[in-house]
Amino acid sequence: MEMAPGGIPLAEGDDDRDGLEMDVLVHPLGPLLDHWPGGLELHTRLHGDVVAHVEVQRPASPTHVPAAVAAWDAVARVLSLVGDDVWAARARMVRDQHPGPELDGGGGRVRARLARLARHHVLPHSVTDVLGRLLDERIDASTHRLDDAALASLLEGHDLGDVRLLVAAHAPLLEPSAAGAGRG
Amino acid sequence: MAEALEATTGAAGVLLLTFVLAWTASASYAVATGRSGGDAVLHAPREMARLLRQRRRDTISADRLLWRLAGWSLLPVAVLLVALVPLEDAALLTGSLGVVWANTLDILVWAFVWLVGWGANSVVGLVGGYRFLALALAYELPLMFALVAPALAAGSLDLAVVAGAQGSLWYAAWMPVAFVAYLLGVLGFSVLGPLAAPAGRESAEGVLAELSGPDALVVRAARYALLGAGAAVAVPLFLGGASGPWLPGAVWVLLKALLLTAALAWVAGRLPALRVHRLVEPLWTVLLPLVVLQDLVVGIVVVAGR
Repeated sequence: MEMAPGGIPLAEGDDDRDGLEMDVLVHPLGPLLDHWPGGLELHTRLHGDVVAHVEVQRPASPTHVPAAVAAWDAVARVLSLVGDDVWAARARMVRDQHPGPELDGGGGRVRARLARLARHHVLPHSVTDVLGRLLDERIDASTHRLDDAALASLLEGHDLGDVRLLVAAHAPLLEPSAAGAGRG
Repeated sequence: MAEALEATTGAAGVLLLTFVLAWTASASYAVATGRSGGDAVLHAPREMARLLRQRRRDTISADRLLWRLAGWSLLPVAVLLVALVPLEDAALLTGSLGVVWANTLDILVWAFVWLVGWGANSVVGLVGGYRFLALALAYELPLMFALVAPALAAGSLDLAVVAGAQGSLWYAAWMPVAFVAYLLGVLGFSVLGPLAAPAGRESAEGVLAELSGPDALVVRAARYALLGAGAAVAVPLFLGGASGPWLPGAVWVLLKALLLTAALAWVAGRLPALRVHRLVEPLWTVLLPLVVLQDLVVGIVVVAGR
């Protein structure tokens, strides 16, 4: 007999990464969340607060955002997620000035802030790394798309909070179509 | 009759002061996160109007009793903390154990924040609750040892005596480590600023995630009220209490409490939330030994001064 108080099945056990048996919870993320790429759905299985398994479902229609704008948008979202609102607003201002790889003072200061946050472990290095490469256009978003399997393996093993940060940072690489993502 | 009247006006005054401190904290926090002055001041009343009218949304199989009880208990904790603060010579709640009571009240916050996360029967709430417990263990011990320093120097656990013992050199000036650890603890039990991870946006606001309507209003307001109340208790502990030139002592207490509230909320608003597993280690291995060392220094000064 399956126990389902309130219509929700009880969590089932599974071996977690430490070899201990943990309750497994099914937890959806998206399609609508603050500071989240619109339409992206993750069906996660959690061991405690660690994401053990991810199934990705993404929207069909591409958004056609220029690469630099998408990169600065990702920076603003990551900063908002850690509650750094003033600097998130500055990143959005840079985004709205249609930036290029050659930065004005505002963009440089935001990047210095990112570096400082990475140094103090406020942001995981994996997050600031990918943001830096996106801002330098060292990753071409039109060719380096993350497919579902790559995204899932990127996220698995991280805790819920880091998953939100990683998704926000990798959002420019999640565009469904290669055609609209590149800035040329 | 006169006593009852005095107690009633005292209680009303404490409620009013808690309200003003919470509003000050909320406005200052809003300014720090980039809102303009007027917008920041109106942020609290706007949120109040919005959340009072918001329909209550429940989760499936929520532990309603504990969830609501915990959420609505946070504001009374802030009020009781403010009631401990001696305005002139006596507080509304006087007693020889004021410091211990303040500590007891901030420990009650552990249970309440955890239960707010637990009661919603939601993943993010529970994650937030556990994050808070990990963080609480790490900030609480430095906070407790920080409370020891002024009590040791004054030779009393009575907040009025501690305030009166400071003379011209405030304890904040020669016990800076204890002062900082105390303020960090205040941010911890108000779940704001760098210690806001249990209600962090990257976990969908954690313990706050499933709250709605008036339940959300009282918990959100309580965070700012707790910050203000913590700052108010710091006035007799570290900032000389009622001492100050020209103005009456009570005015000085209020002024110091409001300024410290505004400053602490502003700093908290400027700083990003730190990830719990990165925060716990320095709190245990750096701050805690430093605060214990501070207590030792205070102890030596007290013994040498006899």
